[in-house]
Amino acid sequence: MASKGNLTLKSCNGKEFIVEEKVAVMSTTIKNMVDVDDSFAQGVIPIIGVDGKILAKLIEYCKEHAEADEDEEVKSEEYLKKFDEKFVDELNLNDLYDLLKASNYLEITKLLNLLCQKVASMIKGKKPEEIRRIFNIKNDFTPEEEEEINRQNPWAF
Amino acid sequence: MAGRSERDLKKPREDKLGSIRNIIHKLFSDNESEIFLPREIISAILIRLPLKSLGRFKCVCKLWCAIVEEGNFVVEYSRRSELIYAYKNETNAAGDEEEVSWLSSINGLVLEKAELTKKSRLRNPATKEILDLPNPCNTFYDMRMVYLPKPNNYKLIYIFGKNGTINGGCEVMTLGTDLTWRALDIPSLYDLGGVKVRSHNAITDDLFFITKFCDPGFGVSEIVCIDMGSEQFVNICIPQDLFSSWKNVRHFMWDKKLCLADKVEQELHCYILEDYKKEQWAQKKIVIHLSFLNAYPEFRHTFPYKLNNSWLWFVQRDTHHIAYNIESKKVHIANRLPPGKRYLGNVKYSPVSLARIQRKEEANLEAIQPTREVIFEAIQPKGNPNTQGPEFSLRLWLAILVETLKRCLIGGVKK
Repeated sequence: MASKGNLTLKSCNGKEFIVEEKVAVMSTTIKNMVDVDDSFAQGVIPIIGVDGKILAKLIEYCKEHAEADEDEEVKSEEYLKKFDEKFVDELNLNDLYDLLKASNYLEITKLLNLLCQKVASMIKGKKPEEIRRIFNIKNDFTPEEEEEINRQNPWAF
Repeated sequence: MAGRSERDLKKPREDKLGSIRNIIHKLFSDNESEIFLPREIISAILIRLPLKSLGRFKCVCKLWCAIVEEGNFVVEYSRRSELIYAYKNETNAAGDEEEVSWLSSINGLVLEKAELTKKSRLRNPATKEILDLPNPCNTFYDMRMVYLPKPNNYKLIYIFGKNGTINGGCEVMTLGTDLTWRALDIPSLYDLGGVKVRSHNAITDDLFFITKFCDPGFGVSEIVCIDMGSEQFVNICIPQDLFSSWKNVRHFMWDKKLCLADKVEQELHCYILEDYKKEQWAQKKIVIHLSFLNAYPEFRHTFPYKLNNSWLWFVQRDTHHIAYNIESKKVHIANRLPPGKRYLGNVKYSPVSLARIQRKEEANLEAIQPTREVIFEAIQPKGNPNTQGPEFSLRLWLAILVETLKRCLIGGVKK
């Protein structure tokens, strides 16, 4: 049982994390749950679809940012920037996708923006076929349609 | 059923959690079976890409292509992008370059007019695409473009005066739908070319205002407001007692409302049209002291062309801009032109594909042509109020247009 001011988050594979409320409410989804119903604040909040590893990452990120919001002296803007850089650089592709989806669903806007920016800078120089491979996307255009689209965008090549 | 309600009483929270769990589970499994990442995430990634990558990735799959072409995406993409300032060299050495002027711009698309041939066309400066428009059947005073987000289309409107008569009118065209211009029957515009009429136009989102000023005793001064979506129009009477003299009254856009203003010595007297549908004018006139202009003698005789987020904008010779904040009283001087260059306008980066707009039509419009040489330079305006309003470039052109129109009408009077 979490003590007052703390929340217990439970990942889909059963791992429980006790976190400070100010850290957990970095997620708008969790914030709304707690705001609407006090019982969430005392019980265990299941974070479905997010496993222990990803949830730990999310909490690591939220902890730093929540602390920085509270005390700018200890965790300056520059410190946060460095933390963010290191945070995304250490992610492998699978974790990156899982984090993207989790931060989207949990509405952790700052993290979502950071991750999207990371993916964008990762893919900006790539060719369409490389993109399909990275994102596991099936090309649903016929060769004619694809040619037509490329013909309309000569400036992009 | 009885058993279930008993359980509900015992563990209400668990049950609530269970239903949330189901919803969440559904959300995630749906996303995974159809696409790897949810649409909103893909959109959030794509919006951070440079324009070139965006164009290239349209052929990744149908979903990606659809996202890039979505109206909201285009609006947001160009809102976030930097301004491109466009200039032409003052000296036209080769003489083979076509003189163009920019009439209107929105979402990174520019509506321009070739001075020599009088042809109008659309240009996306970022992608260097050009789309020629069907020729209007009349010589126009003014042509503008609006973007209507709901049907996601672009509409053009122009007003004209018929040569040698006092008749005028107005025609519209929806890009990708209309093959030619359609006349809008607005009776009060018939005498638009009349000698005693001064007319100005302004546009905001989906409203197009045509203001006709008649000298007292010669007719009715009124505002015609055209709703570009429905193409309905409203005639708004201007109370004749708003100003003691109408000689120098002009109008400009006050945020999203129309404002009539007169310069009385060092004061600007403004009346705002609060509600065009109810023909409701503001009860009180707003007086702005313009004594700050004494420090900028070249602007002393200029008239503001817009008010945007408390910034009142002035332009001098189409090139120099200053803004005055009516709240903080601060003055901002916009970027100066590089010497020897003529300012064309500024515009944002935009992924709008003119070829796609054109493809929606079945008209045999001319194919996309290679771009004519225009110099584009990105200037990074730091802390510049320019960047605050997405409509900036459009409003800027208002000023230039009003000036052009004025010259055109004054020319008509002299003849």
